[in-house]
Amino acid sequence: MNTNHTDDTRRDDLPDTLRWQLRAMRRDEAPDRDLWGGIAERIQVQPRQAAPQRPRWIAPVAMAATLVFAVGLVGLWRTGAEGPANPGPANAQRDTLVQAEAQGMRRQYQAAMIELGSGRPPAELQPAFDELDRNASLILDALAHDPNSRLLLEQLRRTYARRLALAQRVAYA
Amino acid sequence: MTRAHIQRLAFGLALLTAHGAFAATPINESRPLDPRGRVEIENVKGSVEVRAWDKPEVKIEGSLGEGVERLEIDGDREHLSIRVKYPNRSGMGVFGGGDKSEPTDLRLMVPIRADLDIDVVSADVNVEGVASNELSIDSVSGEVTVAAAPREADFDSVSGDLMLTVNSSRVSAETVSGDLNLRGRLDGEVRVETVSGRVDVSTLNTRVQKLSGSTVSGDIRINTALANNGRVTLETVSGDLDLTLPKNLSANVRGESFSGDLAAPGAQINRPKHGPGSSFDHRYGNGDGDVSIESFSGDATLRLE
Repeated sequence: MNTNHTDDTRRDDLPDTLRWQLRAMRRDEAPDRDLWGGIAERIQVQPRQAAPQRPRWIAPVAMAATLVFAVGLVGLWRTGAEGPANPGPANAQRDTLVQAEAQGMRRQYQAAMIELGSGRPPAELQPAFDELDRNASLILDALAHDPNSRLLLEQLRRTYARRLALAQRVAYA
Repeated sequence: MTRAHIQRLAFGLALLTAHGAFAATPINESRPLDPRGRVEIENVKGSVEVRAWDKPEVKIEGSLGEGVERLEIDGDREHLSIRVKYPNRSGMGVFGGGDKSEPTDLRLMVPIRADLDIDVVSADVNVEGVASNELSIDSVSGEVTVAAAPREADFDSVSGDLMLTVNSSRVSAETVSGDLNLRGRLDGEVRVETVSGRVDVSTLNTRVQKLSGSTVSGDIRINTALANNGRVTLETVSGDLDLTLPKNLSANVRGESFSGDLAAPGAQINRPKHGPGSSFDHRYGNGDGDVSIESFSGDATLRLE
């Protein structure tokens, strides 16, 4: 168990093991394996039957949203691994590397969702979206208690990726 | 509610059912397919039932729901695509309430070794008897029930439950909130993952090479045996984790939790004097394999039986 989570923990004090784990994780940030295969196929199969409320630009925008999310995460890993270029407020300096990654991941995820332009989900999928949001909140709460947890960071990444993939699925349905 | 009310209600329901039955269009199609060909099936709602036979042919029966545009069958002997096509929709496409089409039920016979790729939204899927190279099923809210022996299998669901009995060397299954129940002769790689669904895996007289399981809030229960130098990795945030392995286990087992309780036979649970958390690291037998169980607040238990 990683107990290195006191308030005055500095990024440079993180164990090498954790740092390498974080670096290794960034290679996993490519969009989910099957994110675009099915979508591309659907675009070809039913390209010109887009619903009136779903303008044609949504495909590139949705793709851009995912890329922003994925690329942003890679950038976050790099930033996190190299330390902050511009130190933020005093409390931000106290954040552990994992916590900073989690916050950055959350921002990137939110940006991706905004770019995706996700409106209200269909009623039948609302419970799944609620469940994903509830579990993401659960992980963020847990991270507040255990800010150095690689387990929680990876779970947060998976949950956000799942949520984004589901939103894309709705967008392309 | 009076008896008269109930009778009128029942009569009304019967009329509605009868209307639906008459409105549906029967399906009766056949296409040749190589014994190791590939079949793709898409159906939004209703059901998809697949059974296997020895003929180099796909037989499609069932009923097309009222309001469905058509059943589209494309492809050749190597690759057949069967899709239930819907009229132009507005709003959220197949998810939207604008689609008034009735459910379509598909019943297929396919060559026993043919690869299968099934994609549904709310349709229930039932597959039995196939022994393909690849089996892939993707569902949103429909329940998926499988009893098959594919070499590789991939299952994905959002809220529908996965009830899988498979003999396979590689299985990957994931859900958001649906429960995941996996049984069978699993001797290779197994990956199971849910967000809040319950995971229950049990292997039958086989030893896995690599098994990974992950949930956020769902419980995980695994009953398996480990191959030489095999690896099991289980992690959860708030779910409980229960791993059962044989008494003759030969592996190094590590456990870690922030606030959950850890338990493992013969292992000493270490707790730091200051701060939360507990962990253990224990070698069983020669320590050939590698087992890791980790949680944030859920309990994690290793049993040897």
